Amino acid sequence: MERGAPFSHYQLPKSISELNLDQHSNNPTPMTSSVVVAGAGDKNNGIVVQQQPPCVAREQDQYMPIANVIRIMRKTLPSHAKISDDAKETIQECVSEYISFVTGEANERCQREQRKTITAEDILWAMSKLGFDNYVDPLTVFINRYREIETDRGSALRGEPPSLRQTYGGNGIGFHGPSHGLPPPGPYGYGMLDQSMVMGGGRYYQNGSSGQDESSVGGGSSSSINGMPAFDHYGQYK
Amino acid sequence: MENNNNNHQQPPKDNEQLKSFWSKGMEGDLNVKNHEFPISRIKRIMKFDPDVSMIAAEAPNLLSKACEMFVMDLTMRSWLHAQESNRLTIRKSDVDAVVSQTVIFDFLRDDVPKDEGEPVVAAADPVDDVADHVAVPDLNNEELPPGTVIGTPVCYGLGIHAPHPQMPGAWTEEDATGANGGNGGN
Repeated sequence: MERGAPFSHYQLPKSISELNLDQHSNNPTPMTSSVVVAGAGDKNNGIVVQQQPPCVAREQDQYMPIANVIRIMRKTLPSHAKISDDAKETIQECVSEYISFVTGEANERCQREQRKTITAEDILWAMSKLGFDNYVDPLTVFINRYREIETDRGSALRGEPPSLRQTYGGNGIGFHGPSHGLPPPGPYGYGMLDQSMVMGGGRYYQNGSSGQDESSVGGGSSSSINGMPAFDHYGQYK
Repeated sequence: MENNNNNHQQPPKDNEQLKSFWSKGMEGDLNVKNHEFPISRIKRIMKFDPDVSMIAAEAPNLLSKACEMFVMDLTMRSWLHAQESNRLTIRKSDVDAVVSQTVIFDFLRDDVPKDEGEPVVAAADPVDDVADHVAVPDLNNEELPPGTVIGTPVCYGLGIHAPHPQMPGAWTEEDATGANGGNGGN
């Protein structure tokens, strides 16, 4: 199996390309909220300064809280297992790397399709492309349940006001009309269909959902590392 | 896979444990309301990439669950590696070895410089363990090296994927959009 060196070296050209794209496509939105992260701040972020070292507070903000990391580790392991402190810290840092890695891949897809907002589908697509096929099935179930709860409440979990829902419509993301009370999806293919329905026919995601379905089936057949076959399913995006 | 046949590893047992792990993950950890990781911090990390302009509300929630699975995945593999040496304690060298042996964790190689030269060999030797402990830098005093480049071995080179915004307005923006009271500002 080919090692991951291409991934490491592949990142830099993309970053440069994305930086160039950012200068032209960065548009602020009229509203700032906790539901949609406004683009206004990105204008300031457009200037990349890499010389100044981060302060302690900023460095802490780069990581997930280590208490949360440890709690998840402990519920994964048998009770007699112990974890050294440096192992905890290493995994803590790996989580931040993982977020940046998946976000970068999802954002690249957004820019290729000339969209500005990273959606849950982009995240799922990125994970599948990057080899995390085992994660896609349970996360699809998760996001479908999340949307059902959101719809039942009539607003986002974070108390989305009605005006922001229009913002969703304007961005072509989120919900187009209320989702019907669909039963919890049993087969994952059904989950994908549910996802398409929730997305109102999903012009942009229909193929993506199908691709994810195929990839999920491939991933489900084996719990071993199965990165290469998944990539073949997404040749159309390259 | 061939990458897992190191140091007397038993593929059937490993495979069974991993399958059991995924089944458990699918069943028991899909609680929609129980978020292990703070959403505001996930958003902040996502926006370290200057190309990221807008993030849908669902994306950080989905990533929160994905990170939980990622931690479980990395922890379980590290535990299996520790057990191969009949140890009950997961060490940094176990995590490093898993990163070296697992292709989907290749993007973490920059955090594991010792194994970059030997991507296939697992670091299970006691001498290597001592070296790991000695070589681990103090994070509180760590400064990201300027001009970090992909592929160059650096310790904890988070700057590779997370260029740091320096404009005060950016942090004000974060304060306005996030509910994280722990943000101490600049």
